[in-house]
Amino acid sequence: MNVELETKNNVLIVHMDGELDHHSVDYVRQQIEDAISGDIFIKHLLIDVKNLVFMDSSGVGMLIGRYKTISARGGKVAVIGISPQTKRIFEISGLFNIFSAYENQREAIKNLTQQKGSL
Amino acid sequence: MELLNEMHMEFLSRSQNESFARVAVAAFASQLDPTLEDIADIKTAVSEAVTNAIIHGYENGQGYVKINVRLYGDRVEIDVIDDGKGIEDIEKARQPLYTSRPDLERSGMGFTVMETFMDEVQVDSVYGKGTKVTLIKYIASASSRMQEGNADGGADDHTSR
Repeated sequence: MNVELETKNNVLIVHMDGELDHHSVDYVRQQIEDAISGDIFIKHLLIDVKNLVFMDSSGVGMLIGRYKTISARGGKVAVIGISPQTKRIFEISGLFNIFSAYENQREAIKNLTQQKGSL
Repeated sequence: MELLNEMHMEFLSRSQNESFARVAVAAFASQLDPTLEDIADIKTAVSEAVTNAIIHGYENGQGYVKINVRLYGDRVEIDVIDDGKGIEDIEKARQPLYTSRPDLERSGMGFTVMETFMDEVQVDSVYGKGTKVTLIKYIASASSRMQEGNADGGADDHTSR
């Protein structure tokens, strides 16, 4: 599993490449948590799963955990690049209730960073 | 339907082996000519069962996880077995969102994923002794593949002699 992190505005973008299972979740969790705790201005989280070739319920648990971290900062979480296999796991586990899915990074960031009450 | 092929494997309860286990089982099951979706379902279900054996059966300690795979003309059957601590209350363990380890950031969706992706999931457990999870998936394209196989002289021709 390879994780690439980038920050745009106040959104932490996590590009995942590989397999998200019980074996790899600890590493991914640490990468994301370190990035969030190292930058007080990060508010939202965008997960890019385009190059994720496998995910099981261990990945679900890890993503719910990161949602909690981001919620504590008053932010939102979103996902892009959903494949049919990832989509099924997201659906079964109810992850779409907390992770909004978007077509691409630009659209996701636009929606995540939209201020409430703005025109 | 008679048994076409069978394999057994055994490996240490290390998380590195989760990927190996699901890929090995999927590769073996591919003899039944499953669809890509079937393969993805099998990999995911095996991953869940093996992860359970490692985290819950052996509580991240050392032990061996055993897998038996049986191929029939219409289905694949997979046993994932551990000699770990067993499940005290199987019905409770199978509930969506239930986890015996809330400290570990688990989703509690393992059995739900297995049940969704496979056609049958049987759980046998003796508390303090071990657990066997049997996963069964019917492969729609298998029977037509079998007929083709027989017409070619059949690689798996131990049946009709």
